[in-house]
Amino acid sequence: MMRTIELTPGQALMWLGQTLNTDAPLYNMPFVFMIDGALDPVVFEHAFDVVVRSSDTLRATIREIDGEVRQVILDTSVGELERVDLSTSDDPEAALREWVARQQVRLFQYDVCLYHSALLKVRDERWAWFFSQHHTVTDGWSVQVVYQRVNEVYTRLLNGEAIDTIDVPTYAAYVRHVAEASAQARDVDQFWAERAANAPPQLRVYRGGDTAGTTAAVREIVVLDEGRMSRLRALAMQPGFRSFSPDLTYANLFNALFAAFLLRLGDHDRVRIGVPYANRSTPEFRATPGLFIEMLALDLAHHPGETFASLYKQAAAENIRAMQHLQPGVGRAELNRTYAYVLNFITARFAAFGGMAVEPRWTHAGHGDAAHALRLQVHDMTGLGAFELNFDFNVHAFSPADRARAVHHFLMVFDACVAAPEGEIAHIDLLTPDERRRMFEAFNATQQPPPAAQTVVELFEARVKRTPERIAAVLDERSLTFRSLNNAANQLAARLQEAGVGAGALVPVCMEHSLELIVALLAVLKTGAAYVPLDPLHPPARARVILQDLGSAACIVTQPQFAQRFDAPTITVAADALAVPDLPNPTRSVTKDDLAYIIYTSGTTGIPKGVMVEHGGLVNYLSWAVRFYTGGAPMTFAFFSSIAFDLTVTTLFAPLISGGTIHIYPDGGKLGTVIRDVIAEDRVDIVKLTPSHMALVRDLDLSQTYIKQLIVGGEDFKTSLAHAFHENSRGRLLQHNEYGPTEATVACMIHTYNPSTDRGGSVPIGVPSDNMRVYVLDRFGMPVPPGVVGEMMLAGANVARGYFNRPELTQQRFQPDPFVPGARMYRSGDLACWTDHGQLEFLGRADQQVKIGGVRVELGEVEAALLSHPAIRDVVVEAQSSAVRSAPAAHSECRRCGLSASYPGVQFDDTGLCSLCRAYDGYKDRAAQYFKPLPEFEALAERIKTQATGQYDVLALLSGGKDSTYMLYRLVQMGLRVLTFTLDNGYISQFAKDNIRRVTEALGVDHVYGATPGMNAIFVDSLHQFANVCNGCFKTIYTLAAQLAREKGIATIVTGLSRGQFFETRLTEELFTQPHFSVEDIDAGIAQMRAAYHRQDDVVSRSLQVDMFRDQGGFDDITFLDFYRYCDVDLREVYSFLETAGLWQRPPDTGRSTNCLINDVGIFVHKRRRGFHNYALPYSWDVRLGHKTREEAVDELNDDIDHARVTQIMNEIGYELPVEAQDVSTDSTRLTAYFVADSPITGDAIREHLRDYLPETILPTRFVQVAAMPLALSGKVDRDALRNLKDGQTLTGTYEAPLGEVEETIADIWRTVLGVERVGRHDNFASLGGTSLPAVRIAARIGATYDLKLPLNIFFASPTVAGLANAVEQLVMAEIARLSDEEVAAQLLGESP
Amino acid sequence: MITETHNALQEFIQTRFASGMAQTIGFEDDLLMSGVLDSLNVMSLLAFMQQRFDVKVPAEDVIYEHFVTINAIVNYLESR
Repeated sequence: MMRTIELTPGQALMWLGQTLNTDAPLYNMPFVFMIDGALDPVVFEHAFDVVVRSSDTLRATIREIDGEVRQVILDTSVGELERVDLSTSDDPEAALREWVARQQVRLFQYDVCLYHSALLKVRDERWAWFFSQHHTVTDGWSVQVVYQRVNEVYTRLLNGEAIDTIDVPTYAAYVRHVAEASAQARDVDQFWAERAANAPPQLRVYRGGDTAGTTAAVREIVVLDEGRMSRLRALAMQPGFRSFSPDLTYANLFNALFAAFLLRLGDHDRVRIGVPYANRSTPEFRATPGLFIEMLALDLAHHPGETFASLYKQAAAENIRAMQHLQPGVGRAELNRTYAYVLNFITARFAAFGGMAVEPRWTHAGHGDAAHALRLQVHDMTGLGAFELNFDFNVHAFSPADRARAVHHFLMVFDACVAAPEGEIAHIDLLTPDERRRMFEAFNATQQPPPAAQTVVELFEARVKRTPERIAAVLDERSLTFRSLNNAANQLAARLQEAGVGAGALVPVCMEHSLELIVALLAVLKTGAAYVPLDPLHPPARARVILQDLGSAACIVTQPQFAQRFDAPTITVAADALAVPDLPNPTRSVTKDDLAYIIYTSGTTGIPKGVMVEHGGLVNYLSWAVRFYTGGAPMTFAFFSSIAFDLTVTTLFAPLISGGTIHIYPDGGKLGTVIRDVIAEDRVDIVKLTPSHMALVRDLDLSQTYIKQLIVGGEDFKTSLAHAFHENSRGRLLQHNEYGPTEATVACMIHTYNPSTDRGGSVPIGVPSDNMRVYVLDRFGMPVPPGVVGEMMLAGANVARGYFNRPELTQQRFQPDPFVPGARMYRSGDLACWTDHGQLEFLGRADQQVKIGGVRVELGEVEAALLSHPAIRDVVVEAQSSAVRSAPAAHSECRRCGLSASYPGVQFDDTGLCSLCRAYDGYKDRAAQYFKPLPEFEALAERIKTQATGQYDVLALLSGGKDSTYMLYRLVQMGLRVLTFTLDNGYISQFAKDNIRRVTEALGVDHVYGATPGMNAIFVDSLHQFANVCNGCFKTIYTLAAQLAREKGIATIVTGLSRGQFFETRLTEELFTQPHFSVEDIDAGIAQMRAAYHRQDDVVSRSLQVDMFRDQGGFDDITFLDFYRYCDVDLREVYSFLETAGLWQRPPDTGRSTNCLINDVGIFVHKRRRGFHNYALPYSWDVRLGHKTREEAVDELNDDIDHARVTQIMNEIGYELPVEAQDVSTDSTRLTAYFVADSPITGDAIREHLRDYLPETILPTRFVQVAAMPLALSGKVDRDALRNLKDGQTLTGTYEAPLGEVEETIADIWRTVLGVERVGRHDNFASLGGTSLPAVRIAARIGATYDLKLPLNIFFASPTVAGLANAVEQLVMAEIARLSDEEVAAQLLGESP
Repeated sequence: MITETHNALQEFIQTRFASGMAQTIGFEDDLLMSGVLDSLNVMSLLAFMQQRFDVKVPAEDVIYEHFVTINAIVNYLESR
């Protein structure tokens, strides 16, 4: 006969955990009791049997009965006491250990027996009782009870008593109690439900921390020594610590100590600790074997000034709170999931067994709860008066090094807290004296005697005296000796001084790479002023922003060809003005505290800020650089990088102060070629460059190169790249990794690549340079020990003065050096960590630490994993949260137009004005010229009337919406005979159709509906390409309308596009800011663009099979007139007019649109895939143009979308959202990997490879293969360009540098207009981010360069550099052959003339 | 001064936790050293105090110093 009882909630939870990890013995509770004495095994076996027969718990099995899991209590005991004799083996103790190790991980047969009991003979008078149970039927207290009953029965049996069974309370009674209790415990339930719902963020110590759902665990054991125990005991007696009982006091103490450890080393100020409570509330329960514990959770927090004493108070109060809310059955899965750390203070004790000495060992089966990163069990089971600490580490969350560290750091925290409980937790020192010496003192012992000179000019002038005839700079055939360079600089300095430039002045210098540039920089410095470099190749907007920030600059030093860019007074330095007689050095009073230069950096908000570098810092850096790289010997440096970035400072000034030579490479922008030249020409000893520069020439054979050293800076330097260069140069090249932000004057740390020891993903950043100190501090400002991540603080002589004109930011980032009074330090925002070998490991920017599904991910780690793929050469991993593309600024919406920060590329100034509004202010007047007054339209209308031949004057595009309807009224008012056309795309609202019918009937105009069976395919394609439906729809409308107009002999089509839409689709800033602006040119350009756009072979043209556009004349006989170009009316007026007219009613079912039901699909998809509303831009234009108020625009963008309907329509048209856009969770950060590879690789292939290295949750979801990494002008990867690659666009194909002069010129133009560093001859214009708008500009420039007219349709016919060059050549040759451009164009397009 | 509170507490503690003890518990007797009050009993006592005196003792105040003797408990209650 069998009895069954249900499981308690606690048992059910355990059971659930076990079924989720069927193969792991994570709930085995193995004990070994070593008994020393003359144990009688037969009596022991008998005693054990008695206890089993007496306790239902020991006869419990777990089975599924009718779909329910229940405990089945067997009548007879099934498990026998196993008898093992190890005394005959060579080493019985070792044999015992092995036996235990094997047996303790055996999984139980749940339906047979839930314990394993064995008596092992080690030798005469030494026995081991192995007793292991499944946790569903036991806990610490239960083991103690069972042990005690076996002990008691054994003794009685030995005394001759006959015992059949003993009185043991049943677990069944407890199960009944639980069922009753849970009915009453509502407020207790509520308490834990709330706690489960409000979990603090997961806290991590060290760099691991995530169990990733694994159960494997390792136990480290520490027994507290007598010193620690006596101090702990003393503390336990102190007022403020002493609690109701010693056990309670120690429980509180260890909870608090554990919390102190986690809070001191972790990355959050709050921690939740899981604590099991014995839950033995009655004498009967106290005597019942079985599982009673309830897992509850205590919340502790670190507040500013928190001490161990105050933390203890928190722990004590939390303990009381938990006890007040302790009821059977109250533990729950939702609560268990919210903590990763458990403290188990065990009070079980085991008395002598039958009078014999016992040593209890609680062993570890190597597995634990998958949610627990660390369980700390504290017990004194032996009763020796010393606590044994068992640290059970989840193996995935704690590496072997981290485990050792955790124990070590816990003890440091223990010692500090117990010795000085009133001390602040934040100030607990985690460094051993040896570590402090090594990592803090010795590491930063970089003092060098201060340099002799105060300023770099002094150093230069001293060098001039020493080696006047050495060549200082050379460009092609021209060169300057030190003497002539000095003279030229003195002369220019005199000019500058005459113009009022002197100490304290800020002088922008905008010059291309030339001898004159070197002269200019020195000249400015010689006057005592500071230079502000502007790269003439940068987009003009950047110079404008910088000049605006500087305010009134004294004057700008530039070259004649750039002078007209600037409104401010300029001083031009012409070529050939450099041969001058000897001139004395100007006198000046400049010290090391005066500024040498201001260099602007971008930072994450996109608004450049000027870093002010003083002479002192510059001289310190340069003195070190000369010492380290040249040893004082004269060397030749290659100057090819941009002067706007401080990468170049080394290249320019190191040779100038050490008698070396600057070898200048002129601007030409073909970066790959330049670097190749640098390497191939035997001229240069040292090259300073970025890793991205290196990647461009990764495959070059460097075995014969003249170059001896590479100084690599600006970006993370991957060892795979260093290794490649090492191999290619057969080890001849020295590669130095120079780390440092502009704020630390070029660089402040150095490491020379060592192929045998540098094995990590990145080349180490090394050690601080002269007179610089690097501290790695945690969030409490304390130096971190090995294994803990901290922020790098850079202190010492190189620290810049601050940011120009940004006092708050300066105060935030530049702080007093806490370790050297009077000194300053810069918060780099870079994270680093000490390895176990005492090396500093760079971990990337703090803002590159992202969380994916709650797991912290280091992007560098993902990048390294990708680089392990044999075919991948270069990679950049970016994280994107689905809401925002670019980092949001402090302002979330423009104060004028309401444009949201989520709109890609938009920036906000300090007043909250967006960059579009700001730019528009600049060209507002010109833009106004594009728009015309209504009378002009009326005049046009008159002309049309006289010229019209057929039945109608014009064809009007009538969508049925408010804009086109209003337009129709006005057209009719003007007396025009109008044919109206509507595209029925299948989703026009019936209400809209009714509007159309009523209005056209009332106005007496004819109306035609057009349609195409391919409409759904057009929608789907538009959604794929543009993440909207309107693009496809517009194009279809225009195409069909033109066809219809042709048919009916109508020469003019009138559209109802709004002004906002003009700016959105065709009028860009460039059109209005060109030096030669003319509205006619804009019109012509737009007309050409329209024609070209319609010629493009795409889904629309294939669906519509429209032949008319294949022949150039497709649009020639049709004029498009945009009504709203001439008519300026705001939203309210339109609605008011329509209301008065009474026939048009706003459809209730079209959402944002006023005619169309599928519009919402476009909005939905766009938001999901691009992260912002596709009406954001046009609405902002409506506001800018005064047609809407800001509130109206913002309000309209916050409409709700009917998801169900959108999904239905997507199904109808056959569109499926791509995987990455489907995620609906709010915290949806995803990784995109941009990579360069030898051959095309699919994302799936890479994912397969990565699975060996990374957990599934952090695998990138998007893989974009690019031909080459786009580089910004700084030489670093242009992440904006990567991010702005449109969906579905990838750069494929291999990079080929432009060939020949024409291609190079054209590539130049593309580079400048598109703002891209590298343009390959076969790169597709669109894939480089080019749209129709820059096309106009580029075509204009090409035309200007070659003095011909380049029609835009040719542009789109061959949108590559190679293709265009070919076209241009043919056009030029045709010039010569005197063919007309049209004829040549026809030839190019393969048509008969 | 002995109050109603003193007596009520003494009676509760005596009957609930020390029924087997021969002597009566004095107001200055150490409740914790003697084992009369342990962590479990304190919970019952708190429940009693809420019910009888309408006082809910916040968890931070459930400390040794406030419960070591009956006088201490009374002092604490009066300080509220």
